[in-house]
Amino acid sequence: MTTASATILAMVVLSAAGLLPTVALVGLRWITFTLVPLAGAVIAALAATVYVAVGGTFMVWFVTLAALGAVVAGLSWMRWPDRRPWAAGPGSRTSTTAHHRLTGALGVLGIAAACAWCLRDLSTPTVGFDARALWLTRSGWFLHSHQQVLTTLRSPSLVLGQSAYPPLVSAAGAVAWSITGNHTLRLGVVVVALLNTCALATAAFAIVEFGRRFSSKLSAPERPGRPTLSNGIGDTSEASPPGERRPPTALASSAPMLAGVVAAVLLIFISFGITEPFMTNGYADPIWSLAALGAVVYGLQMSGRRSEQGVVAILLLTAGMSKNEGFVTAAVLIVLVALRQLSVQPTNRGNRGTRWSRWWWRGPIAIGLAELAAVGAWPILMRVIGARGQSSPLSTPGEMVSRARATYDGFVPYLHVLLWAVPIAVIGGLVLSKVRSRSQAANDWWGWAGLASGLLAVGGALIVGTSAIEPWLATTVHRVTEFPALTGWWIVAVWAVVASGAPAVAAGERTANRHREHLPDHLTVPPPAPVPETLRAPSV
Amino acid sequence: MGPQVASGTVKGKPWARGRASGKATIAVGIIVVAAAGVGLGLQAVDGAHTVGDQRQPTTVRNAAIDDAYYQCLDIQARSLISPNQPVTIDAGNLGDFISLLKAIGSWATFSDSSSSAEARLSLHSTRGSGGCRGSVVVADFAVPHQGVTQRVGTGASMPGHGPPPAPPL
Repeated sequence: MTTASATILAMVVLSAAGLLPTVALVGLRWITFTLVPLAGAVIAALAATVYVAVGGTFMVWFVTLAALGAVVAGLSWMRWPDRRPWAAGPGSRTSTTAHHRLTGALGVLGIAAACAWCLRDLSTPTVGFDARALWLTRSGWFLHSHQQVLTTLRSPSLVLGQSAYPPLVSAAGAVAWSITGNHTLRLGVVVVALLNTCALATAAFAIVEFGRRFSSKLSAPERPGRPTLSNGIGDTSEASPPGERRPPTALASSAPMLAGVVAAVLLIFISFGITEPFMTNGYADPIWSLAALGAVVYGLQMSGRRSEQGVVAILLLTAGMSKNEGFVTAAVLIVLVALRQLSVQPTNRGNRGTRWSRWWWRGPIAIGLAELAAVGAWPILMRVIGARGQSSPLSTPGEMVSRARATYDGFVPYLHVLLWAVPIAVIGGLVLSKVRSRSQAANDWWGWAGLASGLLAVGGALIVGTSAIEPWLATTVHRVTEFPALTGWWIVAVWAVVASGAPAVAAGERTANRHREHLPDHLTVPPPAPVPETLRAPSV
Repeated sequence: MGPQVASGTVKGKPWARGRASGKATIAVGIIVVAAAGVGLGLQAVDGAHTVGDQRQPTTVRNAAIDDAYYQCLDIQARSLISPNQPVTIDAGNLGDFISLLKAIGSWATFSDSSSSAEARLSLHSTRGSGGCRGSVVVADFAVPHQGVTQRVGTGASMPGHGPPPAPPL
C-alpha cells in the first residue's frame, strides 16, 4: 500500500473511532471534522495505556475502546434526547443569517487552503531525529507482545529515558501501521502531521466562529424589553428604550466576521512558521502545543457553552497524552477551565432551585477530575511498571537561580510576540473592555493565565531539572516555546476581532443615546428594576 | 420631575459617562486592528518563508540522505537477525547506539539483558564498498550460527562517510 492510500485509510480508521464520541460532545459543527481524528488518536492513546497496564493486544483494546465510546455516545443520546445532533431543541444552534453561515464556510475554505499550502512541506521526505529515535520507534513497540513491550519500556540497556513519555503520537502511528500493513516511518510522519494540522485548524476556526458570533450579535436588532445577552448568559442589566434600535451599518457589523476569517488564515501561516520543521517531521511538540492552544481558545477565551466544553475536553486529552510538557500544561489548563466554568455556571442555569441547580458546581469539578485521571493514567502507569526515565532528581536552589536566568535568556528570542500582545492587551483592556464585553469573549486575563501555565510548566521543568541547561535549551527551546508563542498570537487575533467591532458598538451606542434624548415624556421608561445578585453575569 | 430616560449600563456603569467616548473607542479600535494586523501579517509572511525553506533543494537532499542511511542500516540488520530474535545493542558510543536504535528500534525484539540476547548488534567502521557511509552492522551471536559467532550485515550499501547531516533537533 502506498503512503498516500495508507494515510487515507489510517485517518479514516482514526476518524471512525472518534466519530460518535466527538459528535456527542461537540455536535455537528465545522470543527467536528477536525476533532474526529484527534478523538480517535486519544482513543489510541487510551488503548496503549490499557494495553501496557493489562495485557492483550493493542489493536483489540483500540477497537474495544472505540466501541465503548460509541456505546456511551448512544446512551447519552437516549438519556438526553435534546442533545442528539439531529434534535432541533433550543440552543442547539446559534441563530445566524445566511451571510454569517457563508462567512463560516469562507473561513473553512480559507483555513483548509492555507493548511494545504503549508502541508506541501510533506513532499520533503523528512523524518525528525526524535521521530525516528523515539516517537515512531515506540509505534512498533505497541505492536509487540505485552511481555515484550514491558521489557522494552523497562530495560536499562536501552538507555532512552524519553520512552516513558505519553503515548498519543506513537499510538496513532501504531494504529496506522497495524491497519495498513505499511510499517514505514514515512506513514507515521504523515499521519502525525495531519493530526497536528487538525489541531491547528480547530484552534484557528475558533477565531472565525468568534468573529461570526460577534457580527451576528451586532447586526441583531434590539427590541424593547429584550435583554441584551452580554456574555451570552442572560445579562439583564441593560434595558432598551421603547422602539426598535436600528442595527449599525451592515459593513460595520460585518467587520468582526471578516476580521475573524482573515486572522484565522494568517494564524495558519504563523503557526506553521513557528512549528516547522517539527510540524511535518513526526515530532510530538506541535500536537501538544496546538491542542493546548485550542483548549485555551475554546475554554478560556470563548463563551464557554456546553459544546465548547466538549471541544476543550478532546483538546485537553490530546495535549495531555502527547508529551510530558503537554501533560503538565494540560493539567494546569484543566484546573483553569474548571475555575472559569465555576465562575460562569451560577448564571447559566435556567431552573434555579432544582436539585440539579443546587449541585451545579459538581459538573465542572467532575469533568476536571475525569480529564485529570485520563491524562494522568500514563505517567502513573510508567511509575508502577518501573519504566526507564522515571527518576528525576532536582537541582539545588543555588543552581535553580542560574538555571532560571539561562532559561529566561533562552526563551526571550522565541517570545517576541509578547512585544505585540502585551501592549495590545493593555490598551484593549483599558479602552475596549466594553466592546470586548459585547463580543462575548471572556476576560483577557483567562487567556494570559493559559499562556502563563504553559510557560511555567516548561520553564519549571528546565529550572528544577539537573541536565546541563545550555545544551538542553539549545536543543529544545524552540520547540517548548511553541505553545506560549502561539497563544500570544491568538490573543492578538482575538483583540483584532474585538477591536474591529468597535465602530459598530460605538454607532449602536450613539443611536441609542439619540433615541433617549428625543423620547417624548409618555414614551420614557422607568429605570430597569435592580437585578438580583444571583442573576447577574460576572465578567468572565 | 424631568423625564426619566432609560440608560444602558454595563456592570452597573453608564455606557457613555466616565468611560471612553465613542470617538476614542473607534480610534483605539482602529489602532488595535492596525497594530494586530501588521503583527499578524508580518509573522504570517515569515511563516510562509519558513514553510518554503523546508522545500529547499538542500533540505530535500539532506532528508533523502538521512532516510537512505537508516534504510541501509535497517537492511543490513535484517540480513543478520529476525524480528523475533532477542537482541541487544552493544555500541561503543551514544551516537552509534542512537543510530542503530533509529534503524531497528521499531521492529527488533530487545532482550532484557545482554546475557539473554541471542545477538549483540554494533556498528563498525569499514573502508570497503559494502558499508552505509563507512559503517556496517555487525552481529555477535551468543551461539555460533553456521560455525561463526560474528557476521557482517549485507544487502545494502551507501557511498559517503560518517552519519548523514543531523536533522534539526
